[in-house]
Amino acid sequence: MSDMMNTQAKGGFDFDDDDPLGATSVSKKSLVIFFMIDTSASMKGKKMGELNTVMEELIPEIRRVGEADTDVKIAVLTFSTDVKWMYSAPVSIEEFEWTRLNASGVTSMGAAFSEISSRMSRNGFLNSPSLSFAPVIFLMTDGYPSDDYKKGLKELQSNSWYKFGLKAALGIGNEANDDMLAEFTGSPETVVHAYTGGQLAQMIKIVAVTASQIGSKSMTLSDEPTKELNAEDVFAAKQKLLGQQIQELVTQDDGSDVSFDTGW
Amino acid sequence: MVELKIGQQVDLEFGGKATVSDIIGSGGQGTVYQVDFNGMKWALKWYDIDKIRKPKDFRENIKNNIADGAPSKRFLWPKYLTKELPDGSFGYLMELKPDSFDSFVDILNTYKLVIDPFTGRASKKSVRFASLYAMVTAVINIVNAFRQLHRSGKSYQDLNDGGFFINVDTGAVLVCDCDNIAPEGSNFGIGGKPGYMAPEVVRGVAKPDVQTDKYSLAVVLFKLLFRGDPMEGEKVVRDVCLTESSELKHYGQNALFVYDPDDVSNRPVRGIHDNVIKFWRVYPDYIKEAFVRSFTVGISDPNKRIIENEWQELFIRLRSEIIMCSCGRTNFTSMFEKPTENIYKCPKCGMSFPTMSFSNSNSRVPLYLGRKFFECEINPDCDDFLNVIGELVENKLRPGVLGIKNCSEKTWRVKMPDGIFHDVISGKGCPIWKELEIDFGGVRAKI
Repeated sequence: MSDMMNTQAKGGFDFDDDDPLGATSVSKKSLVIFFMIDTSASMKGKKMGELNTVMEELIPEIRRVGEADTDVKIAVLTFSTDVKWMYSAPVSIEEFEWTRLNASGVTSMGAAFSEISSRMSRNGFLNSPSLSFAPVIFLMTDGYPSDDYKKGLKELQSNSWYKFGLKAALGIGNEANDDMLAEFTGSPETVVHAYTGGQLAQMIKIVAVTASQIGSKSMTLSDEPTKELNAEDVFAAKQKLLGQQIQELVTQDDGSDVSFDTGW
Repeated sequence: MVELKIGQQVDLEFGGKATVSDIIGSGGQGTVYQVDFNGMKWALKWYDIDKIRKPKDFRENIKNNIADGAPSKRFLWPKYLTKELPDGSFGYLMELKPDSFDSFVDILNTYKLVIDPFTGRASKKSVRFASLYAMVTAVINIVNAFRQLHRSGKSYQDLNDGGFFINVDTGAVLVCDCDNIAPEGSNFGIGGKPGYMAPEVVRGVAKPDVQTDKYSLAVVLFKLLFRGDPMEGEKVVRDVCLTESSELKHYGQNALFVYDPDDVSNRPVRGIHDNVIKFWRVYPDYIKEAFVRSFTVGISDPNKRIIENEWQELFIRLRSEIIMCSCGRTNFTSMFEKPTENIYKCPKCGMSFPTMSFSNSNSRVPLYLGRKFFECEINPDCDDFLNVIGELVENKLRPGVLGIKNCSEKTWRVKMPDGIFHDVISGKGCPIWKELEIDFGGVRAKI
């Protein structure tokens, strides 16, 4: 009350807060990148070692990708016998530190799908007060689910953040089933496969960097206009672009080092 | 895509080789490298040729732009083309951005990340305008750069926050990414960034041209002054998730200005759009009206968009209405008290400022120690908003007496306290008194 009188006494100017240079940062749009990582026993050894190393190296790269007008956050969900989050909430890319993962147990992928679905909500992990881009969800696995993944996937598919999100998956080694992974991503173009350590590192980088690049920006909706666009024309345009770009990048690499599943 | 490696040499079209020495950054169409050429450091923009729809036409256009030269010194313009590699890849050389310039994105964020070369650690460094004066000068510089570009018959096409560098101490501006600039009527397949693109381009019913540039320019100016998005308010935030279809809706089909006078449904939201709410109170009506026009009738009718010349006049006026009070308060006259028609008063310390009227303008400009007068204020045919022709100073022999010093080459006719008009030649001055009149030679000013 006294503040108000003070202001009025001085002619209605609230001169403590009218400096035209006293701006705060423009409100950024936020993007959460979910990594779903298989930590079952079969991942033990070289695969896990490779994965841990590449993830550590990847963080600074994504930091550069996330354009300055998007606030990029990372959430990591691991699944083996149990499902577990690396941190209790998504962490800003500027502060994110990778905690090295260990492998043991079975592949509860269905449970992981349900878990991620339950957190992908306004009251869960996507609680930024300002606008959000649809999340990026990147699944990495080397085997077939040991639980009823269809039930979990069905739950996830009814989540609208999932519907609009960018989905990509990486199958590692000969056991991983690309058809099953395409069920998760919605299209075979966004599924890649790594048979060797070199490929694993390369694929993780290609997919994660491309997905965060596309996810953290507004979509160029039309660059060759032929007719007025409607909502159907642009639906999942980013997901299609992700598929195209991943395929372009993947076909350029013909990794010729030794397969993961041989030479043990 | 052919990526260049450090140490790799690239042949230039007219002879010579540039050697890649560093990577500066990458964008939608390719990567920018630092290169050595003829003993100097340059920037090389190298295209990811798969992302260019008509590479031959695109290259031809850059070639023509190089031949035409930059519209003004405010452009980091293409200088030399490279030869094409067997797969058609190519690039061009331009001057490097000086270190004293910061990107528009960093200015909007109010900080930049600086990487320590030894530890690799990133730390935040503040990026803010040194003065209100520098900020408004930057706005005038941006508007003027686009005026010059459009006068040369070309359009920028994908104007967005990545297109400028600004010196926050002086307000100097450099326009970069000039490779999509094309003659009016041509288009090489660049779309732009929703939020900056004109609604008709977002909707897919028009291609970028001078008219759509005008819309994008209004967005850039709004963002620089109000530090928020002109179309992002309650209606947009309610969508929560910015999907492709919601971008089409909010920036294309149903774009609605946050301060549309006839529709309050998209007002800025406290807690998210605090900058816009705060600064909308601060700016004078004639500035707000120009934005309202740009983002209401200007959405559906490109011909109603504000032309660069009009923006330039508005912002030159705005700059002339800045008061720097000795108590430290710096603001526009709209935020000072006005006890009488000809006086402004500082609401913080009570200091009074007399005003002067100019025969070529309806507004009155405030007078205070350090105030500068520019060529464009006293010469109606002149565009020069940087050349100082007069300054308000304290008399060196008689402390406490304020006057206006003639910093121009011309002789002024001035009514002195004896009531008679005298000549004031370059380097001399006149005291400020209640019946002061100055004839600058065409434009007349009086207290």
